[in-house]
Amino acid sequence: MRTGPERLLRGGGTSARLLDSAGIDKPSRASRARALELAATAGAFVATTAGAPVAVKAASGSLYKTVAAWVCIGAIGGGVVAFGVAALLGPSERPGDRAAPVLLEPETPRAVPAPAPVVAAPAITPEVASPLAPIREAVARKDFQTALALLDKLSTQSLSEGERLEATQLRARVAPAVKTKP
Amino acid sequence: MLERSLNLGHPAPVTTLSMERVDEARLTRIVGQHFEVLWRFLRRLGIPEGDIDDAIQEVILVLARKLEHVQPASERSFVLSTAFRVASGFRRSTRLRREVDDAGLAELASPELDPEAFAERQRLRAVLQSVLDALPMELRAVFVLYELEELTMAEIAHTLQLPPGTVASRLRRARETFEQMAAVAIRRDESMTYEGGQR
Repeated sequence: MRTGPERLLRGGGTSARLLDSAGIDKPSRASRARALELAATAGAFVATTAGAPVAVKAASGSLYKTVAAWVCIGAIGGGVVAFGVAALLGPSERPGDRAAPVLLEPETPRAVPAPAPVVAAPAITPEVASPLAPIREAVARKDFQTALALLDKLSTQSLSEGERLEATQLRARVAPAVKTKP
Repeated sequence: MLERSLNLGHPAPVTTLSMERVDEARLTRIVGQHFEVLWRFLRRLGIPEGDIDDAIQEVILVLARKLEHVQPASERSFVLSTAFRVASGFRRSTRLRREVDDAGLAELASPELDPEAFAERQRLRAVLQSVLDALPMELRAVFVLYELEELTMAEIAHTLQLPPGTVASRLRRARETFEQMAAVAIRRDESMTYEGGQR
Protein backbone atom coordinates (compact mmCIF):
# COMPACT_ATOMS: atom_id res chain seq x y z
CA MET A 1 0.00 0.00 0.00
CA ARG A 2 1.33 3.39 -0.94
CA THR A 3 1.97 5.83 1.88
CA GLY A 4 -0.31 8.46 0.40
CA PRO A 5 0.06 12.10 -0.53
CA GLU A 6 1.65 14.73 1.67
CA ARG A 7 -0.74 15.80 4.37
CA LEU A 8 -2.44 19.14 3.85
CA LEU A 9 -1.53 20.22 7.36
CA ARG A 10 2.15 20.34 6.35
CA GLY A 11 1.52 21.84 2.92
CA GLY A 12 0.84 25.40 4.06
CA GLY A 13 -1.89 27.62 2.69
CA THR A 14 -5.53 27.98 3.59
CA SER A 15 -6.19 24.31 4.21
CA ALA A 16 -3.24 24.03 6.56
CA ARG A 17 -4.44 27.03 8.57
CA LEU A 18 -7.86 25.52 8.93
CA LEU A 19 -6.61 22.06 9.81
CA ASP A 20 -4.16 23.50 12.31
CA SER A 21 -7.05 25.12 14.17
CA ALA A 22 -8.38 21.66 14.98
CA GLY A 23 -5.57 21.33 17.50
CA ILE A 24 -7.41 23.38 20.07
CA ASP A 25 -10.34 20.98 20.06
CA LYS A 26 -9.84 18.66 22.97
CA PRO A 27 -12.20 16.66 25.12
CA SER A 28 -12.83 17.89 28.61
CA ARG A 29 -11.52 16.03 31.62
CA ALA A 30 -15.10 15.50 32.76
CA SER A 31 -15.97 13.82 29.47
CA ARG A 32 -12.97 11.53 29.77
CA ALA A 33 -13.83 10.69 33.37
CA ARG A 34 -17.39 9.81 32.39
CA ALA A 35 -16.17 7.51 29.62
CA LEU A 36 -13.75 5.73 31.92
CA GLU A 37 -16.41 5.37 34.57
CA LEU A 38 -18.72 3.83 32.01
CA ALA A 39 -15.99 1.45 30.81
CA ALA A 40 -15.35 0.36 34.39
CA THR A 41 -19.00 -0.59 34.86
CA ALA A 42 -19.68 -1.68 31.31
CA GLY A 43 -20.59 -5.20 32.39
CA ALA A 44 -23.77 -3.95 34.02
CA PHE A 45 -24.60 -1.75 31.04
CA VAL A 46 -24.05 -4.57 28.59
CA ALA A 47 -26.21 -6.85 30.70
CA THR A 48 -28.99 -4.28 30.60
CA THR A 49 -28.74 -3.68 26.89
CA ALA A 50 -28.32 -7.39 26.17
CA GLY A 51 -31.91 -7.82 27.36
CA ALA A 52 -33.24 -5.59 24.63
CA PRO A 53 -32.58 -7.89 21.68
CA VAL A 54 -34.13 -10.76 23.64
CA ALA A 55 -37.30 -8.71 24.02
CA VAL A 56 -37.27 -7.96 20.32
CA LYS A 57 -36.78 -11.65 19.52
CA ALA A 58 -39.69 -12.58 21.76
CA ALA A 59 -41.87 -10.03 20.03
CA SER A 60 -40.93 -11.29 16.58
CA GLY A 61 -41.44 -14.88 17.76
CA SER A 62 -44.98 -14.11 18.86
CA LEU A 63 -45.58 -12.41 15.51
CA TYR A 64 -44.56 -15.60 13.70
CA LYS A 65 -46.89 -17.60 15.94
CA THR A 66 -49.77 -15.25 15.20
CA VAL A 67 -49.16 -15.46 11.45
CA ALA A 68 -48.88 -19.26 11.62
CA ALA A 69 -52.10 -19.48 13.66
CA TRP A 70 -53.98 -17.35 11.14
CA VAL A 71 -52.63 -19.41 8.25
CA CYS A 72 -53.83 -22.60 10.00
CA ILE A 73 -57.23 -21.06 10.68
CA GLY A 74 -57.50 -20.00 7.05
CA ALA A 75 -56.52 -23.43 5.76
CA ILE A 76 -58.99 -25.22 8.04
CA GLY A 77 -61.76 -22.76 7.19
CA GLY A 78 -61.08 -23.13 3.48
CA GLY A 79 -61.20 -26.91 3.77
CA VAL A 80 -64.53 -26.80 5.61
CA VAL A 81 -66.03 -24.44 3.02
CA ALA A 82 -64.74 -26.60 0.14
CA PHE A 83 -66.16 -29.71 1.78
CA GLY A 84 -69.51 -27.98 2.25
CA VAL A 85 -69.62 -26.81 -1.37
CA ALA A 86 -68.70 -30.30 -2.62
CA ALA A 87 -71.38 -31.86 -0.42
CA LEU A 88 -73.97 -29.44 -1.83
CA LEU A 89 -72.99 -29.94 -5.45
CA GLY A 90 -72.27 -33.69 -5.29
CA PRO A 91 -75.84 -35.15 -4.85
CA SER A 92 -77.37 -32.96 -7.53
CA GLU A 93 -74.90 -34.20 -10.12
CA ARG A 94 -75.09 -37.89 -9.36
CA PRO A 95 -78.59 -38.73 -10.77
CA GLY A 96 -77.75 -36.96 -14.00
CA ASP A 97 -74.59 -38.99 -14.31
CA ARG A 98 -76.49 -42.22 -13.94
CA ALA A 99 -79.24 -41.28 -16.34
CA ALA A 100 -76.81 -40.26 -19.06
CA PRO A 101 -73.73 -42.46 -19.16
CA VAL A 102 -72.17 -40.17 -21.76
CA LEU A 103 -71.49 -37.76 -18.92
CA LEU A 104 -69.17 -40.31 -17.42
CA GLU A 105 -66.47 -39.34 -19.89
CA PRO A 106 -63.12 -38.34 -18.36
CA GLU A 107 -63.92 -34.63 -18.70
CA THR A 108 -66.48 -34.86 -15.92
CA PRO A 109 -63.96 -33.48 -13.38
CA ARG A 110 -64.76 -30.03 -14.77
CA ALA A 111 -67.84 -30.05 -12.55
CA VAL A 112 -65.68 -30.67 -9.51
CA PRO A 113 -64.73 -27.60 -7.47
CA ALA A 114 -60.98 -27.12 -7.78
CA PRO A 115 -60.17 -26.53 -4.07
CA ALA A 116 -61.52 -29.90 -2.93
CA PRO A 117 -60.61 -32.55 -5.48
CA VAL A 118 -60.33 -35.22 -2.80
CA VAL A 119 -63.93 -34.68 -1.71
CA ALA A 120 -65.29 -34.70 -5.24
CA ALA A 121 -63.30 -37.70 -6.46
CA PRO A 122 -65.38 -40.52 -4.89
CA ALA A 123 -68.48 -39.33 -6.77
CA ILE A 124 -66.79 -39.95 -10.10
CA THR A 125 -64.31 -42.78 -9.93
CA PRO A 126 -66.76 -45.60 -9.03
CA GLU A 127 -68.94 -44.59 -11.94
CA VAL A 128 -66.10 -44.60 -14.43
CA ALA A 129 -64.44 -47.76 -13.22
CA SER A 130 -67.61 -49.69 -12.56
CA PRO A 131 -67.93 -53.06 -14.33
CA LEU A 132 -71.67 -52.35 -14.52
CA ALA A 133 -71.13 -49.51 -16.98
CA PRO A 134 -71.45 -51.62 -20.18
CA ILE A 135 -74.56 -53.27 -18.75
CA ARG A 136 -76.10 -49.89 -18.04
CA GLU A 137 -75.29 -48.83 -21.56
CA ALA A 138 -76.91 -51.97 -22.96
CA VAL A 139 -80.00 -51.33 -20.84
CA ALA A 140 -80.11 -47.76 -22.03
CA ARG A 141 -80.02 -49.04 -25.64
CA LYS A 142 -82.78 -51.53 -24.64
CA ASP A 143 -80.46 -54.31 -25.75
CA PHE A 144 -81.64 -56.54 -22.91
CA GLN A 145 -80.11 -59.74 -24.24
CA THR A 146 -76.65 -58.28 -24.29
CA ALA A 147 -77.28 -56.82 -20.88
CA LEU A 148 -78.35 -60.20 -19.54
CA ALA A 149 -75.38 -61.89 -21.14
CA LEU A 150 -73.07 -59.36 -19.54
CA LEU A 151 -74.79 -59.82 -16.22
CA ASP A 152 -74.30 -63.57 -16.48
CA LYS A 153 -70.62 -63.11 -17.21
CA LEU A 154 -70.19 -60.71 -14.34
CA SER A 155 -68.40 -62.07 -11.33
CA THR A 156 -70.30 -60.86 -8.33
CA GLN A 157 -67.29 -61.32 -6.09
CA SER A 158 -65.45 -58.42 -7.67
CA LEU A 159 -68.39 -56.07 -7.05
CA SER A 160 -68.94 -53.85 -4.12
CA GLU A 161 -72.07 -54.19 -2.05
CA GLY A 162 -73.76 -51.28 -3.83
CA GLU A 163 -72.83 -52.65 -7.23
CA ARG A 164 -74.08 -56.08 -6.32
CA LEU A 165 -77.40 -54.51 -5.34
CA GLU A 166 -77.50 -52.58 -8.59
CA ALA A 167 -76.65 -55.73 -10.59
CA THR A 168 -79.54 -57.53 -8.93
CA GLN A 169 -81.85 -54.65 -9.78
CA LEU A 170 -80.64 -54.66 -13.40
CA ARG A 171 -81.14 -58.41 -13.67
CA ALA A 172 -84.65 -58.05 -12.25
CA ARG A 173 -85.38 -55.46 -14.91
CA VAL A 174 -83.69 -57.23 -17.84
CA ALA A 175 -84.66 -60.85 -17.27
CA PRO A 176 -88.44 -60.42 -17.66
CA ALA A 177 -87.90 -58.38 -20.81
CA VAL A 178 -85.80 -61.14 -22.37
CA LYS A 179 -88.30 -63.84 -21.40
CA THR A 180 -91.26 -61.93 -22.80
CA LYS A 181 -89.54 -61.51 -26.14
CA PRO A 182 -90.61 -64.12 -28.71
CA MET B 1 -23.15 -17.45 23.37
CA LEU B 2 -22.05 -19.16 26.54
CA GLU B 3 -24.04 -19.12 29.69
CA ARG B 4 -21.70 -17.70 32.27
CA SER B 5 -21.99 -16.10 35.63
CA LEU B 6 -21.36 -12.40 35.61
CA ASN B 7 -19.75 -11.08 38.74
CA LEU B 8 -20.56 -7.41 38.92
CA GLY B 9 -17.97 -6.54 41.54
CA HIS B 10 -19.53 -8.69 44.25
CA PRO B 11 -17.66 -11.42 46.10
CA ALA B 12 -19.93 -14.11 44.69
CA PRO B 13 -21.81 -14.27 41.40
CA VAL B 14 -25.11 -12.53 41.98
CA THR B 15 -26.80 -13.21 38.70
CA THR B 16 -26.48 -15.46 35.68
CA LEU B 17 -26.75 -13.68 32.37
CA SER B 18 -26.62 -14.96 28.83
CA MET B 19 -23.49 -13.07 27.94
CA GLU B 20 -19.79 -13.41 28.03
CA ARG B 21 -17.95 -11.91 30.90
CA VAL B 22 -16.70 -8.42 30.07
CA ASP B 23 -13.02 -7.90 30.68
CA GLU B 24 -13.49 -4.56 32.38
CA ALA B 25 -9.79 -3.94 32.95
CA ARG B 26 -9.07 -4.31 29.24
CA LEU B 27 -12.09 -2.25 28.32
CA THR B 28 -11.04 0.56 30.62
CA ARG B 29 -7.51 0.48 29.21
CA ILE B 30 -8.75 0.66 25.61
CA VAL B 31 -11.12 3.53 26.38
CA GLY B 32 -8.42 5.43 28.25
CA GLN B 33 -5.88 4.86 25.51
CA HIS B 34 -8.09 5.83 22.58
CA PHE B 35 -10.45 8.27 24.22
CA GLU B 36 -9.01 11.41 22.65
CA VAL B 37 -8.90 10.09 19.10
CA LEU B 38 -12.41 8.73 19.54
CA TRP B 39 -13.67 12.07 20.83
CA ARG B 40 -12.00 14.05 18.04
CA PHE B 41 -13.17 11.65 15.33
CA LEU B 42 -16.77 11.79 16.50
CA ARG B 43 -16.56 15.58 16.73
CA ARG B 44 -15.13 15.86 13.20
CA LEU B 45 -17.85 13.55 11.91
CA GLY B 46 -20.36 16.15 13.00
CA ILE B 47 -21.53 15.00 16.42
CA PRO B 48 -22.29 18.15 18.44
CA GLU B 49 -20.46 18.45 21.73
CA GLY B 50 -23.73 18.17 23.59
CA ASP B 51 -24.28 14.68 22.14
CA ILE B 52 -20.75 13.44 22.11
CA ASP B 53 -20.94 11.75 25.52
CA ASP B 54 -23.94 9.76 24.30
CA ALA B 55 -22.09 8.75 21.14
CA ILE B 56 -19.04 7.71 23.17
CA GLN B 57 -21.28 5.69 25.43
CA GLU B 58 -22.68 3.83 22.41
CA VAL B 59 -19.18 3.08 21.18
CA ILE B 60 -18.13 1.78 24.59
CA LEU B 61 -21.16 -0.47 24.84
CA VAL B 62 -20.50 -1.95 21.41
CA LEU B 63 -16.86 -2.42 22.38
CA ALA B 64 -17.89 -4.13 25.63
CA ARG B 65 -20.18 -6.52 23.79
CA LYS B 66 -17.59 -7.49 21.20
CA LEU B 67 -14.47 -7.18 23.30
CA GLU B 68 -13.57 -10.85 23.12
CA HIS B 69 -13.45 -10.69 19.34
CA VAL B 70 -11.28 -7.59 19.16
CA GLN B 71 -7.64 -8.41 18.50
CA PRO B 72 -5.13 -6.39 20.53
CA ALA B 73 -3.58 -5.05 17.31
CA SER B 74 -6.96 -3.88 16.02
CA GLU B 75 -8.23 -2.06 19.07
CA ARG B 76 -7.92 1.45 17.63
CA SER B 77 -9.36 0.35 14.30
CA PHE B 78 -12.30 -1.23 16.04
CA VAL B 79 -12.94 1.88 18.14
CA LEU B 80 -12.79 4.15 15.10
CA SER B 81 -14.92 1.93 12.85
CA THR B 82 -17.53 1.68 15.59
CA ALA B 83 -17.40 5.44 16.01
CA PHE B 84 -17.96 5.85 12.27
CA ARG B 85 -21.08 3.67 12.39
CA VAL B 86 -22.37 5.42 15.50
CA ALA B 87 -21.81 8.83 13.91
CA SER B 88 -23.62 7.72 10.74
CA GLY B 89 -26.53 6.62 12.90
CA PHE B 90 -26.52 9.95 14.70
CA ARG B 91 -26.70 11.78 11.41
CA ARG B 92 -29.65 9.71 10.28
CA SER B 93 -31.50 10.16 13.53
CA THR B 94 -33.16 13.35 14.65
CA ARG B 95 -30.70 13.61 17.46
CA LEU B 96 -28.28 15.48 15.28
CA ARG B 97 -28.93 19.09 15.91
CA ARG B 98 -27.33 21.67 13.70
CA GLU B 99 -26.51 24.14 16.36
CA VAL B 100 -23.55 26.17 17.41
CA ASP B 101 -22.34 24.25 20.36
CA ASP B 102 -19.64 25.90 22.36
CA ALA B 103 -20.37 24.16 25.63
CA GLY B 104 -16.85 22.85 25.99
CA LEU B 105 -14.98 25.90 24.86
CA ALA B 106 -14.23 27.06 28.40
CA GLU B 107 -12.00 24.04 28.72
CA LEU B 108 -10.29 24.64 25.40
CA ALA B 109 -8.40 27.73 26.51
CA SER B 110 -4.79 27.05 25.80
CA PRO B 111 -2.29 28.60 28.19
CA GLU B 112 0.28 29.04 25.37
CA LEU B 113 -1.97 31.27 23.30
CA ASP B 114 -2.79 34.87 24.00
CA PRO B 115 -6.54 35.65 23.96
CA GLU B 116 -6.41 37.19 20.49
CA ALA B 117 -4.61 34.26 18.91
CA PHE B 118 -6.89 31.88 20.71
CA ALA B 119 -9.96 33.72 19.40
CA GLU B 120 -8.53 33.53 15.87
CA ARG B 121 -7.95 29.78 16.11
CA GLN B 122 -11.37 29.33 17.59
CA ARG B 123 -12.90 31.16 14.63
CA LEU B 124 -10.93 29.02 12.20
CA ARG B 125 -11.99 25.93 14.04
CA ALA B 126 -15.65 26.89 13.50
CA VAL B 127 -14.93 27.41 9.80
CA LEU B 128 -13.17 24.05 9.63
CA GLN B 129 -16.12 22.32 11.22
CA SER B 130 -18.54 23.95 8.79
CA VAL B 131 -16.42 22.83 5.84
CA LEU B 132 -16.17 19.29 7.24
CA ASP B 133 -19.93 19.23 7.82
CA ALA B 134 -20.42 20.00 4.13
CA LEU B 135 -18.39 16.95 3.05
CA PRO B 136 -20.28 13.72 2.44
CA MET B 137 -19.86 11.30 5.33
CA GLU B 138 -17.84 8.69 3.45
CA LEU B 139 -15.39 11.31 2.18
CA ARG B 140 -15.21 13.04 5.52
CA ALA B 141 -14.30 9.89 7.43
CA VAL B 142 -11.36 9.16 5.13
CA PHE B 143 -10.27 12.80 5.12
CA VAL B 144 -10.36 13.20 8.90
CA LEU B 145 -8.53 9.96 9.54
CA TYR B 146 -5.81 10.83 7.05
CA GLU B 147 -5.38 14.56 7.49
CA LEU B 148 -6.19 15.08 11.16
CA GLU B 149 -5.59 11.73 12.83
CA GLU B 150 -2.68 10.97 10.50
CA LEU B 151 -3.53 7.33 9.95
CA THR B 152 -1.90 5.63 6.98
CA MET B 153 -4.06 4.68 4.02
CA ALA B 154 -3.66 1.00 4.95
CA GLU B 155 -4.90 1.72 8.46
CA ILE B 156 -7.87 3.63 7.07
CA ALA B 157 -8.70 0.77 4.72
CA HIS B 158 -8.59 -1.63 7.65
CA THR B 159 -10.61 0.66 9.90
CA LEU B 160 -13.38 1.47 7.45
CA GLN B 161 -13.31 -1.99 5.83
CA LEU B 162 -12.68 -0.50 2.40
CA PRO B 163 -10.48 -1.62 -0.48
CA PRO B 164 -7.25 0.39 -0.67
CA GLY B 165 -8.19 1.81 -4.05
CA THR B 166 -11.44 3.17 -2.66
CA VAL B 167 -9.59 4.85 0.20
CA ALA B 168 -7.21 6.51 -2.27
CA SER B 169 -9.98 7.72 -4.55
CA ARG B 170 -12.10 8.98 -1.65
CA LEU B 171 -9.14 10.79 -0.18
CA ARG B 172 -8.37 12.46 -3.49
CA ARG B 173 -11.96 13.60 -3.93
CA ALA B 174 -12.19 14.72 -0.32
CA ARG B 175 -9.01 16.79 -0.56
CA GLU B 176 -10.14 18.48 -3.75
CA THR B 177 -13.55 19.29 -2.31
CA PHE B 178 -12.08 20.41 0.99
CA GLU B 179 -9.57 22.76 -0.59
CA GLN B 180 -12.21 24.40 -2.78
CA MET B 181 -14.65 24.80 0.07
CA ALA B 182 -11.97 25.94 2.51
CA ALA B 183 -10.88 28.75 0.19
CA VAL B 184 -14.45 29.97 -0.19
CA ALA B 185 -15.21 29.64 3.53
CA ILE B 186 -12.07 31.51 4.57
CA ARG B 187 -12.76 34.36 2.14
CA ARG B 188 -16.35 34.62 3.36
CA ASP B 189 -15.24 34.50 6.99
CA GLU B 190 -12.59 37.17 6.50
CA SER B 191 -15.00 39.49 4.70
CA MET B 192 -17.52 39.06 7.50
CA THR B 193 -14.84 39.74 10.10
CA TYR B 194 -13.74 42.84 8.19
CA GLU B 195 -17.32 44.11 7.89
CA GLY B 196 -17.85 43.46 11.59
CA GLY B 197 -14.68 45.42 12.39
CA GLN B 198 -15.78 48.32 10.19
CA ARG B 199 -19.10 48.69 12.00
